[in-house]
Amino acid sequence: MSQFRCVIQEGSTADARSDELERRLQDHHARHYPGEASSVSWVTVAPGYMFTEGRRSTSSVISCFVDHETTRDDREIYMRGICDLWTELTDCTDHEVVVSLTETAAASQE
Amino acid sequence: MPFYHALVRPQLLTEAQRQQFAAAVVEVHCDVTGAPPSFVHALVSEEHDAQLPAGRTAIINGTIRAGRTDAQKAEIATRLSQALAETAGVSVEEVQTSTRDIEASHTMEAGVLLPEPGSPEEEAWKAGSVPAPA
Repeated sequence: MSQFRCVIQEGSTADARSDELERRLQDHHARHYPGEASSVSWVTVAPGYMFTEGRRSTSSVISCFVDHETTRDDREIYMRGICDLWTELTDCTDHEVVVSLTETAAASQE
Repeated sequence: MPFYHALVRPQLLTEAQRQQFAAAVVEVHCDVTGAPPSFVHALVSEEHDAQLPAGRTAIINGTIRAGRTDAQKAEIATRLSQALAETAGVSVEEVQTSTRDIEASHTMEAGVLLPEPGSPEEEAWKAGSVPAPA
């Protein structure tokens, strides 16, 4: 099953709306890979433990582990959708959203 | 990206020391690679001894864009281990640093796929991504 691992800041809007974000991530995945289920896990970082450019971070880091091989265009569409839903729900900027995609199908064949 | 995750013994670092280490991460990564500082992330989490390799007080796992040379990666590892050891007041032998490559086009930040290191696209990206001085 494909998975999302989300690192968010304690007390942030993402923290407050994690249930909704989780549902939207799963909906996004199921639209991109029709009907496919996915799971979401959360790492909530206490203030003073994560930094961006050396300062307290306001960023969210969403790591996607996808059971599919992808093309560049495919990845761009998939990750763009995640950026869009995240900024929409949390009011953060694009600069505060980091998305990465690992192809677990390809990794398991290595 | 890059994303550096330091796993340390509980209470090894105060908040000020964590911030000092995060600043060192920016300095080292940008000095070695020329990447824009605004994209450098550092996370510190506290782990019990059983979750750390034997003889280690801290480990640092860096996820960086593929395309850096082995010499660059070795310099990053050496300097980050030294920085964390100095900050925490422990021996450098107690700190282990490694990096993992991720293809640039597998990461999106600031709404765009990251460019390959050294590519013409990277120069344009750097020009557009470095915030104007305050």
